[in-house]
Amino acid sequence: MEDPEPLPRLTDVSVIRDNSDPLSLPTPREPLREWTEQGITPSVMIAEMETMMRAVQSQPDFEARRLERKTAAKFRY
Amino acid sequence: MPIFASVFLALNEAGVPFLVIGGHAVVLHGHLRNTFDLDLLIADSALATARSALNNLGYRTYFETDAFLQLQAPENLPPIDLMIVDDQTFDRIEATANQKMLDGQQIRIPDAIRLIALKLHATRDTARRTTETDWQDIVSLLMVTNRSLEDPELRFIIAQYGGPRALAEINRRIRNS
Repeated sequence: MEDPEPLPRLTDVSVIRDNSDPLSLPTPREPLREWTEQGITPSVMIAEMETMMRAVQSQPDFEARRLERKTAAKFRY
Repeated sequence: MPIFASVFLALNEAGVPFLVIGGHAVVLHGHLRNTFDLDLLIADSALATARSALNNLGYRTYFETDAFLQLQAPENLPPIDLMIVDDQTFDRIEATANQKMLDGQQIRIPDAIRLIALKLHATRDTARRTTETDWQDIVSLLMVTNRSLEDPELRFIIAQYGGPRALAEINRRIRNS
């Protein structure tokens, strides 16, 4: 019986993102349990998000583009 | 030190109660997605102290309304948005919050239902350029909760914070997922 295919890891960044537009980030549809089976845990994902932040932070219009995503209305619960 | 830990430590040392919301909270609930800033929920009464603590780390205000404070980060720290709510709202969301670990620090996030309410609220802001990520988060959080759309509390939250068309939109997305 053949060995199973090696599981994708975060070193293979194509698994989780497309760098063509760093501020338009993809959201995989798979629930985390499926990703967890591939060895991607929340802590690994958070570390990857840190890397992503550092990469996009230096863009000159970064703050302006962030502002476009803000909700102006105050939330009440 | 990981980049988020400094922020959490500074706020804790200043005695600022906060909840992690946004993309990080969604990830900690079990849905894999990416984000590029750190969103924190704080009460009106904690705003001045939070601002001071973050200014001491080198953060500067980029934009501010009564609903949020967008902070520009110094080098090696994450961009931060503070979502500001009245004290009663904060207390109610905090009451059902879940404890999680993030960057080696114990933090709290809203439970899935309250996070869905926050996301639905965001979808109703017509000035925002896109709400697609919010809708994807909502559907993913619903999957995480394992709660039926017939659940009375959930239906109330969807109607209250998403408006009359939200339930149909959620159903459409679940059918297509």
